[in-house]
Amino acid sequence: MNTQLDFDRILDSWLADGPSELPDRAVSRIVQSIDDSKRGPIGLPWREMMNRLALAAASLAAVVLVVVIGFGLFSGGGMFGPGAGATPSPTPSATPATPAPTDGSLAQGPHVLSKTPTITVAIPAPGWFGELGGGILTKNENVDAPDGAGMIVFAEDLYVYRDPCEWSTTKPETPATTVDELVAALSAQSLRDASAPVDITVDGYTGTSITLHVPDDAVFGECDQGTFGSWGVAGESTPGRYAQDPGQIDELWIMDVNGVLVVIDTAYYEATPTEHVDEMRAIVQSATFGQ
Amino acid sequence: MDSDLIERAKRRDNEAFTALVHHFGDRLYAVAYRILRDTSGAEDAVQQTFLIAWRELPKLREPQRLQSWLFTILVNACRTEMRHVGRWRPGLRVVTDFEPPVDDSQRTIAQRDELERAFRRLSTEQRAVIVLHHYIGLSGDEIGRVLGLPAGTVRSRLHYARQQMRAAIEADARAIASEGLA
Repeated sequence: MNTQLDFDRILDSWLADGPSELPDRAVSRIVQSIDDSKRGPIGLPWREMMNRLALAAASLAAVVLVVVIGFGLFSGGGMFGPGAGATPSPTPSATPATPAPTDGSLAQGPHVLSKTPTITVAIPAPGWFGELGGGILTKNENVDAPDGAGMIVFAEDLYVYRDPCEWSTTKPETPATTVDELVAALSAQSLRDASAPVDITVDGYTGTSITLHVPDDAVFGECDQGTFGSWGVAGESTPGRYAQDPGQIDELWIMDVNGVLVVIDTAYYEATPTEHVDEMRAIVQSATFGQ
Repeated sequence: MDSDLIERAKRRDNEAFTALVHHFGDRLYAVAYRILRDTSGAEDAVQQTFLIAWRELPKLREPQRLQSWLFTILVNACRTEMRHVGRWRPGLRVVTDFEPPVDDSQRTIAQRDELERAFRRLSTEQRAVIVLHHYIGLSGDEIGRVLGLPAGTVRSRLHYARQQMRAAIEADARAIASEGLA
């Protein structure tokens, strides 16, 4: 993948394409709506108006249908023929299916979170939004202080900066390639108040969990490029993982999966609801690894 | 922007407000389209923005912030429109309703599709930050005033959104490669 600078240029160029003139019909509608507002209720955008009219028409049709069916059921052999007034036999009620979320969040159940290696997780509760395949999940699309929660997967060797604020000058020559090397580098990273490592097992793969902290009084603007960076990845000059806000807590789950260094970074804050943190831990512990 | 025009529009002068529509309409539409990726939705979002502006303009205390104020209303209108348009589902090939320039020597069609797919996976807030920074050229502070966020949070959100897009593009590339599709 290109460097960040190349990606930004591509993004700039892509966004430059596209319509940039409000169609005359839209201008006319706006002006007409303003004129109408002086005489009555403020006009609605035309699609919403059509939707409301359609909804009203559908409601009216539904009322008519209920009246017609009711007449048929209670009229003793009327419009639907003989026997229509007899007690209908009960129809078996099927177990209603769990409706898919309508807000774009992930349905509860299994999803492929990341590939290479394939990581499948179970979403335990509503409100999880995902960058499936890209290894990112967020609770209610909020990863910011004071109460956000989100997780991101890295499956590669990592260059842990000795100083997350002065990351541009403290990147090591060689990356951490094993669980022990990574844990040692993270434990030694300044400003992070790292916890003691804890042994873990996920899907039969053993590893280590370590928790890091971003100081509550960190001033990102005083860091290199305004970024508090945890580590870098091969081929990129800027941090591959950086903090969202001061006070961020990173609970890292680090495993060797068939020779690949896998890090699941679950990030939250002191004020993040306990159930959101528990859901994240449940997601990690539900993980199964493929090829 | 002529401050006298803004003052007249605040006093419900139709002609003055119509001049504001002509002045800001194109830019608001361009931003709305780039956030929503839908021309009809963008038109509705802009219409809703100006209707709210007409109603609320008398309360605007800093006329020099009119553009920022309009962007704030527009992003909220786009948020509403996103709920109407619905979320894009991964796995579908995206076809935009805008035809790019014929002379497209800078980018391949495949790359444009990748960007489109990755962008559509972002939330409204993330899209707004990307568009306001990369298309309009607003700084973190300016975007923060539009979205009511600290500048630091804007910068973090911008980083995160770009990272998500790159991750999505790379994930798609790996999926296509592993399935043997060109």
